[in-house]
Amino acid sequence: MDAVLRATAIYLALLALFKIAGRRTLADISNFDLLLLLIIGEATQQALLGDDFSLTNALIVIVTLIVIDVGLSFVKLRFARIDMLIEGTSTLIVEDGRPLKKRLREARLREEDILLAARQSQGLEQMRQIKYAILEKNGKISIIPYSSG
Amino acid sequence: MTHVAPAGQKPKTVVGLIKQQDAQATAMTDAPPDTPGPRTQPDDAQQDDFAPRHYPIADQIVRQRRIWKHERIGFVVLLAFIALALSGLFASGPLSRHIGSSPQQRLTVEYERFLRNGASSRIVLVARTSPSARATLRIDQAFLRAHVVESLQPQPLSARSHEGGLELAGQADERGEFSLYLTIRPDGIGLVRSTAWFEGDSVVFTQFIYP
Repeated sequence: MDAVLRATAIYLALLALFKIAGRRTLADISNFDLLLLLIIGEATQQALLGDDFSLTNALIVIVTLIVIDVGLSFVKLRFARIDMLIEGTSTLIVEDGRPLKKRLREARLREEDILLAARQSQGLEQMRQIKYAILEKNGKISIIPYSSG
Repeated sequence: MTHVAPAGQKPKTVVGLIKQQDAQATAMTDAPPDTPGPRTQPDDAQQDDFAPRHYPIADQIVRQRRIWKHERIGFVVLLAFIALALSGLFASGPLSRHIGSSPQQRLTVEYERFLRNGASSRIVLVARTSPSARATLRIDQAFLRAHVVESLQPQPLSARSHEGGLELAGQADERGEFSLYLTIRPDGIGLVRSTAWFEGDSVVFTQFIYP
């Protein structure tokens, strides 16, 4: 019984923590972020398994985690509000070459982050070449350039 | 962390004026190089960064701002959590360490008020009696049911069961003190109210075990 409770508690705690951490912090992974994720995994492992290293316990924990995850995706499909709470919404952050600074500040983003995404995805050099930039739910920045035609 | 831009603030006149100038500057310099003709100046709705946009996506900025606000509040909560952890609310710290004494000070119990399930901790029982006298300490059943006693030092001269608890006898030193060190591993969850006795003196100590 406690394996199920442990897995559920850890799942919910991590969900809440990563929600607070915001989507940008761990969404695009740098070397250090990867290291941090490994450490978080290591710290979680003991609490998930307790002192029971049996195959059965591992299976119970894994099945519980997968069931919660799939169940939550059903809930998110069914209830748009919950989906929005957990996933957030996509947000426009550049409009007609003008960065929406207040939005950037609240999203903890800098203009450099947008320019980085513009260089990487579209090969653009300047803010004024960007028609729209959107901070997506998954934390990535989509860039829509002015059409050259 | 960033902070807290004044949410939903109405633009004041000076701010509006600055924005106007910004917009004009933007219109002059920010035209994309390959867009023909002058660009239209942003209207009032466009000037407000927090006004909802409908193209290219219909964003839900009001809800998104609420989510950002919750992220900021959450961060403050996490900071408070760390402060509490440092202070010992989750075991091992100044808030947790405690010494309980019987009214005549003949028995003192040094213990952690907060424990974690499965994490070892220590309890020290000190009985004061006459020099080199034999001292008999008792610990009640509630304590033994909530903890696994991993070690007991010094080894008692005798040990026996007493009303579901434990009775331990040892010899005091030449100052008349008998100290018993117990290493315990909490095996339950929640509040545990235990009692230790020494010759009619008793100390009740309450511990909370986190899951």
